[in-house]
Amino acid sequence: MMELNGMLLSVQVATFLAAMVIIWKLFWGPLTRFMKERSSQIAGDLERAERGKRDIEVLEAEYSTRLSDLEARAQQEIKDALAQGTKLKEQILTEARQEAKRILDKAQGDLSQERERVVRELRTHITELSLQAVERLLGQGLDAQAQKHLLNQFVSDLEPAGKR
Amino acid sequence: MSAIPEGIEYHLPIDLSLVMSWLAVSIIVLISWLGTRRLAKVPAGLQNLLEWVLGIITDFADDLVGPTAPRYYPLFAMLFFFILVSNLMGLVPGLVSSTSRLSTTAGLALIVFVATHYFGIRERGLWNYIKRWFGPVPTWLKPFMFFIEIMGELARPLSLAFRLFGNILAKEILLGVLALLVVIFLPSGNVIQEALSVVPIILRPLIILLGLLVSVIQAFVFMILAMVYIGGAVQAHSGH
Repeated sequence: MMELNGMLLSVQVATFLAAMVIIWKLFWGPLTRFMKERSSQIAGDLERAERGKRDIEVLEAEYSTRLSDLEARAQQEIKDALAQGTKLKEQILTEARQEAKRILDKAQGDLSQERERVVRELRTHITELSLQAVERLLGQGLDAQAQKHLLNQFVSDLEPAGKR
Repeated sequence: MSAIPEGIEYHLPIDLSLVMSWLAVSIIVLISWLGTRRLAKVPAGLQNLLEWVLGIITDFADDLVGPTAPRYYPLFAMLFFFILVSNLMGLVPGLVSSTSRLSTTAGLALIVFVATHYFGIRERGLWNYIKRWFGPVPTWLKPFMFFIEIMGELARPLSLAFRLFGNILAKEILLGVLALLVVIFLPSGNVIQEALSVVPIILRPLIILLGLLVSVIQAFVFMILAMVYIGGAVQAHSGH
């Protein structure tokens, strides 16, 4: 127990060293490498997660800015469209009013011309009727020359009255 | 008869401490194999235990030895596990701690002693390694300094060997004596002696608990001292 046996000591040392080499090679070495790899993997995963989080924050800020821009642009476009619509409405209304005025004027012109034509025809009829009435009253016929002359005179007498 | 009263007479053709050392190594191999046969990313059971202990050992080695520590991980880990398992084996009835034999502890101390100087010379060169023993003292004091340092260096393996040997042997003797007292007192037929047998019966479990603590502490102390010695030898700016 207290005695020191050189041979025994040597075998103990050899046993220890051999066991150390074998156990480390077979079990503890792979385990420590595994632990180190796992630590690096966890550190890498954490770093990637952190980087992903930062990227998401940047993207979020970017999208937020873009969304604000888009909203502002949409508002502006709505405003522009409204202004353009109002302008178009005014233009259409103006054109419609002009067209209506033109149609009205034309209708009034046509009406006026028609009235004049009707008046002229009416005069001619009245004259013919008057001549026929006079012919019957007088019981004698007028020659064509005399009729034409009488008609022209009658018409010229009527014109001032028609204009009135 | 065995020197330890509770010890079993094995009558082996080889020394019992050597058999116990082989048994300790076999237990370490078995535990290591069971703990590492299916390495899982999320450790459990024996893998968890091994990772925890190896993690503590490598962390201490990194702190005490420095950047070159990974080269010495096998030595530190084996020292700790071998001494711990050997110490704990002494708590099992019928088994003996191989660390309760001076040949074993002296062998371990010799390994640390040789490793310290071998790694120190390899890392720093022979002259730089020897130079530190002369110390930052006037020239006329240098021989004395050298003598003191050499004495210190030689005392280290002695203290390592005897500390472990003494602690574990004391634990084994104490447990053996308590067991012997029970064996003597209980069947004695004497009322007083029978009553007295209660004392070792109560004390023995407590001493086993103490032995458990001593086993862990001694393994840890031996490993830490090995780290300190090797760290001091391989670090260029170490004072010792």
